Amino acid sequence: MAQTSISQPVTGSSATYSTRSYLRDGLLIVSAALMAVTLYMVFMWVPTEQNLGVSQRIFYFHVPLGWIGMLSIVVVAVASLMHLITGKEKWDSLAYATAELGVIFATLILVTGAIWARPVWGVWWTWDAKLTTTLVLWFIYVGYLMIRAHGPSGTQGKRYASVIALIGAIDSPIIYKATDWWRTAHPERNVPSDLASEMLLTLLVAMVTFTVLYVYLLVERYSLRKSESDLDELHQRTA
Amino acid sequence: MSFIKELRRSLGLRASTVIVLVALALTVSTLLTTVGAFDGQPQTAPSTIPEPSEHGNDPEANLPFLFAVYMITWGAFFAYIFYVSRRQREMQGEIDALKRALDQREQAEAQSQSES
Repeated sequence: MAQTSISQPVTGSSATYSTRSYLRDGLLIVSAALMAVTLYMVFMWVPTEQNLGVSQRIFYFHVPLGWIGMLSIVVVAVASLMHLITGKEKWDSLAYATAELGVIFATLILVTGAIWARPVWGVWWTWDAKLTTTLVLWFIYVGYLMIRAHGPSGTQGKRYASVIALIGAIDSPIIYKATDWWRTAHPERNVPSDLASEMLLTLLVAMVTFTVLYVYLLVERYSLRKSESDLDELHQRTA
Repeated sequence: MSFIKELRRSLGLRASTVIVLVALALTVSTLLTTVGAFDGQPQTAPSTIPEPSEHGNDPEANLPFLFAVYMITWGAFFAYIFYVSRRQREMQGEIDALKRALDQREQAEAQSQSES
């Protein structure tokens, strides 16, 4: 049996590694610059909303977090589907990295929503359709990660998690349409149609900023996942 | 300056940059929240958002809630980026150590084969 040579790079060639490093640094700088612009617009440029007062500025973080939270579960589902079809490790790594980010964004949606609900609705939490379906999304992410951590090891565990991700993706359109399908305390539309132009522009900039930040975090986490796989491979070779 | 150098040495360039940016963002958002957020005339409320229940006519009444949201969001991002950067560095160190160990083992095996 031919012995695997250690001269084969585990983490890719130095040129590839350098490109990845430049990509990550570039994304970090762009997201930091965009975040500075967003903060300026949110706190200095956009006018204060008449009825809700200063607490309305939570909107410019809460809505982009919601968008990313829903986007993540779709990415997890697509990557899981590709993993089930092709069996390639890179799709599973992408699904895992996105799920971990998804649980962070889903947690932030729930926390920022609760903090905004307190002054506006007078309660931290209510079993409203929008809030409940978002909580379900959080449980789906946590379930996915728990299957990966404590479920069957190897290919079987990955397949189980992929199926959970595919089922969980159904929740994404339900969250979006919850205010149309049920009577809810949450605003009927995620972005009100009569939003002032400055508010709409600020929201769009915030959404672009959070999307770039999300891509940066995803690249970082995916890279870490690759390193974890490389380490496992090396452990097997040294055993 | 020595503090910044020490930070760069112990955490690496990327993690240090993130820490500095997050610290700046937190400082700026805190200052702006208290100083500049209330300029300009209030605009029309989106009709879909429910009526406020607590702040009455004072637009600044809910400032702590706004502050809490931004602190928690930034804190979470900071903690996560810090965790990923540290884990990446630790893992890279472990990979390098294992590569060296494998290299030494291959050399030793090659030497014993040539001797026999």
